[in-house]
Amino acid sequence: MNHSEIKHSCLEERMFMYQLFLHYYRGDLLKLPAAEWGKLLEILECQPALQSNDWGRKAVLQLQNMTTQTLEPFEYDFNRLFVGPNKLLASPFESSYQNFEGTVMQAETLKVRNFYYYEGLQVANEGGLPDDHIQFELEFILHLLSSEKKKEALHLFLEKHLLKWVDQHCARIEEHSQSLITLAFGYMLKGFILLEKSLIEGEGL
Amino acid sequence: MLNETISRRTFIKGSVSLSALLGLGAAGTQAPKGLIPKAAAKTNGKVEQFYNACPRNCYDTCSILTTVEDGRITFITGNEKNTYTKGRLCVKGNTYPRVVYSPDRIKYPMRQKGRGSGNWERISWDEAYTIIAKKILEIKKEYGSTLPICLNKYSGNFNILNYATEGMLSSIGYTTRAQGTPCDPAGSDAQGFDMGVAYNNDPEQFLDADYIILWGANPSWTSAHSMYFIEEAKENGTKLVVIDPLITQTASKADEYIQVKASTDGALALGMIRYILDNQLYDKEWVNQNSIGFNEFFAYVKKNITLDWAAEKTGVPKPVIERIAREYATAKPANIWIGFGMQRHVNGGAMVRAIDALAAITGNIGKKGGGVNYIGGETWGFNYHTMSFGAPEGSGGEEDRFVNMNNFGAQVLAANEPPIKMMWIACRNPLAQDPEPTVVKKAFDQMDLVVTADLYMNQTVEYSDIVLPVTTPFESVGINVSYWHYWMNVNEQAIKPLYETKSDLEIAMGLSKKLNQIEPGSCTFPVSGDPLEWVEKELNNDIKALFGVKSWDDLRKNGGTAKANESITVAWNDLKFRTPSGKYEFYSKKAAQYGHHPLPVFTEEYKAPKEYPIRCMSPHWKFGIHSQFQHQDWLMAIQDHPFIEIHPDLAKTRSIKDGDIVKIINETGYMTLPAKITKMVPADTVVMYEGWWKGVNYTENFTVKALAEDMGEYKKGQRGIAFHDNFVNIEKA
Ligand code: SF4
Repeated sequence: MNHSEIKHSCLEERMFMYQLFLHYYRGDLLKLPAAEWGKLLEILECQPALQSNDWGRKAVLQLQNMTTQTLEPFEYDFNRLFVGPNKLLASPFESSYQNFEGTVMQAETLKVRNFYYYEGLQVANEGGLPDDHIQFELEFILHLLSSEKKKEALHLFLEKHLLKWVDQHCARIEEHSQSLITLAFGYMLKGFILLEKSLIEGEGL
Repeated sequence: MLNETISRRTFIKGSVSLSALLGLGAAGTQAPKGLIPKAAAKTNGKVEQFYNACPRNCYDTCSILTTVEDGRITFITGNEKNTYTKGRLCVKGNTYPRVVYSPDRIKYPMRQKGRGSGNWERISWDEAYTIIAKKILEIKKEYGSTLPICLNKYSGNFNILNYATEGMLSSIGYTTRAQGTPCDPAGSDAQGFDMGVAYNNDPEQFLDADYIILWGANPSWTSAHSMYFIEEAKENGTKLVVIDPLITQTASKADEYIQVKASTDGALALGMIRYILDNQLYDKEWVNQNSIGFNEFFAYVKKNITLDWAAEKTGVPKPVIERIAREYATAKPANIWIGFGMQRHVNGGAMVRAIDALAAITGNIGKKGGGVNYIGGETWGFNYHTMSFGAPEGSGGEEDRFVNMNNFGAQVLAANEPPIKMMWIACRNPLAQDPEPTVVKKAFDQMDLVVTADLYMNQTVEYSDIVLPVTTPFESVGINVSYWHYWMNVNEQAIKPLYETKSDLEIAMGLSKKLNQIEPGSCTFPVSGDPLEWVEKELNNDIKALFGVKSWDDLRKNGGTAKANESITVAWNDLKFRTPSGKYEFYSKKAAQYGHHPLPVFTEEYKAPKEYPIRCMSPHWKFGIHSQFQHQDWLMAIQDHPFIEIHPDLAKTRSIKDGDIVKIINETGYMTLPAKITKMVPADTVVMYEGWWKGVNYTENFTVKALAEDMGEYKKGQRGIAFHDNFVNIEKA
């Protein structure tokens, strides 16, 4: 495999992982039937970067232990962590971590909004949903990843936003997760973010 | 870094399979629910201002000025155009941006799998409406009416448009309603018997008072804006007297504090009356012209009341009673404010009647700056259009059925033919606020469906099947007035509703739409409508004339707040009382009709049972309103756990030290919490502030029995609860 092929492959895996997390935080996996989880696991098992990383391997191992009983509490736990109606145990909003009062729709949120504007984008329900929900940040990253020209913006966004807070978010998931699946995704995100960090550092940007 | 043995083909398989697996297109910029191309006209830095109204169950009902930048609230303050709000909010009001923007708000309609399990799934509004509508129609079919559906709604939000919830329930047929109020019932009946209705002077008139008695009221905590006028009056030389069993923060500001034994305030008032009569200090002319039954009352006092008795009963020394009576009777005008807490006793109504009589014999009623001020409703003459649609044709039953809000659990359980099977709860938290919460919980257990509409998680939401997320005042329109001051405040929609929250009005329209889809004609509530049109429909010509406004929109454009004209701000200025005789009634046949003594006589206080000798009072807390604001971490940062206040003498008898965990117990329940040793409470009384529920598995009502006050049926349909006649024992845990 030559150098450019590795990079290309790497990009593809990154896109896959970002897509996976976007789907996850959008709640698309909540209704996934047991059989489909098996297929998803198969795909995850052959993601090289994920397998090269302790947290990734740990996540896959977790998911390998999944049974149909594991599935039921998944949705409830997902909601406890990220949706409500209780106090969120691992808020999915950047400003919960970056704002000194942990409130949504603050100056930190506006910075994210401005980044989207710069790229000609906005949250569809702007004002109705905080712009810095992880799902939008992931979607935005996917948009930036899709073009080589946006590499600089991508790195800037990662450094200024997602990479700044997602570790704390993962720590809260680890602390509060009661379901094998939410925990696995917490590990997986943590591992993936490590890879993203090292990739950016390796590229010297 | 990467495992190079994995071929590129595998990656492709991964991406494609993921999309296929989830049945979705690749999640890029075109994904649903996410990012879209930016609207061309968008610019940053747009600053707007809106008027809002604090809709909480608070005397002050403040007018709020809200600054919105780029669609986000960045600052709120009191509206300076409102001379009562005076440009300031209280500590609770100042947390509103946090109420709106806390990440912990209830965001989506959700269904709990297993009541109390904490296992919630997100559902769409359509699913929520469908579940609820189907249940309503199923109940109607099974029982032949909608009477098994019970509404429990009260004071969490007093926006006039929020009566849409009551209106929506009326629009499906006859239902069961939690009736009454935990707030003011005995006192309101008392004033109803004496004067026809409870009606207070404009609190801004404290400035015109020559003498002020705050009787069982603690406005420093519960009506911060009234304190401005009271303190100004004091600065100008008005004497401020506070009568209370507890040394409150307000007491600490008084010229004179009188510690009265709880539930003997009526004896104090009657003792003062005796002195005033004996010393010919009463206003004969006023009494002759404006009252009936004075002679009978005079005779009763002469025969039954002595100052020695009053001193003994109340614990207030005779010379103090005499001096206060003289000062009060000779000050013109003298102003009394009766707090709601004072009447939360088994003799609360009788005590208020005695205090009213004190104000009446001294001619202080009907005078600017005077009055016997308790609560008022003169500015509430809206159309209540949201409640005007009536039951659909063919609804079973003949009228709504009522259960006492103050004994909700037991009465829901006792209701039969038909039993209650579904509850709709809005603007209330009965599992925290009601007496005997374990009984309330049992009533919930009997339900097929419990729906709660709320802003934040609380015990009632925890024990519901469906929670509907509601808007804050800043996300919906409305109009608010106060039960205390004389202002009307506009509430504009300042920002877009966050997440999927809806106002009670929108929820009513949404549910009606679903009901009519499933069974046409099953709900008469309109299925659509612009909230701005709804709010305009609330204002009739009388209310427009009273406030000098043309419309809601006119008020919005002109400062957002308006004061009622002077025709109503002095209570009973025309001395035309709304009693059967048209006079002030010392002797009330109406009272007799309701089973009370016709005169304002002394009735005995509730006596402590031997095993439970300590009174436990639960007054309002300074950083909350009932169970609201408890989710506010800003306020929790100041005080994050409940405590019980104990006098050092009492603590000593049980070897309790400051900070010790104490068990408080009676036949109804028990709880354990830290002790705070303080001389601010009397030695026979402990205090646990009202509304605590966060982080503990009890509420202050765990030991509160559903013991009724003496009055309430006349004006409120039901008696109130003697919350402060809660007797307990305490021990070191
Ligand atoms: S809680 Fe009362 S005093 Fe505080 S802002 Fe609201 S209305 Fe005003």
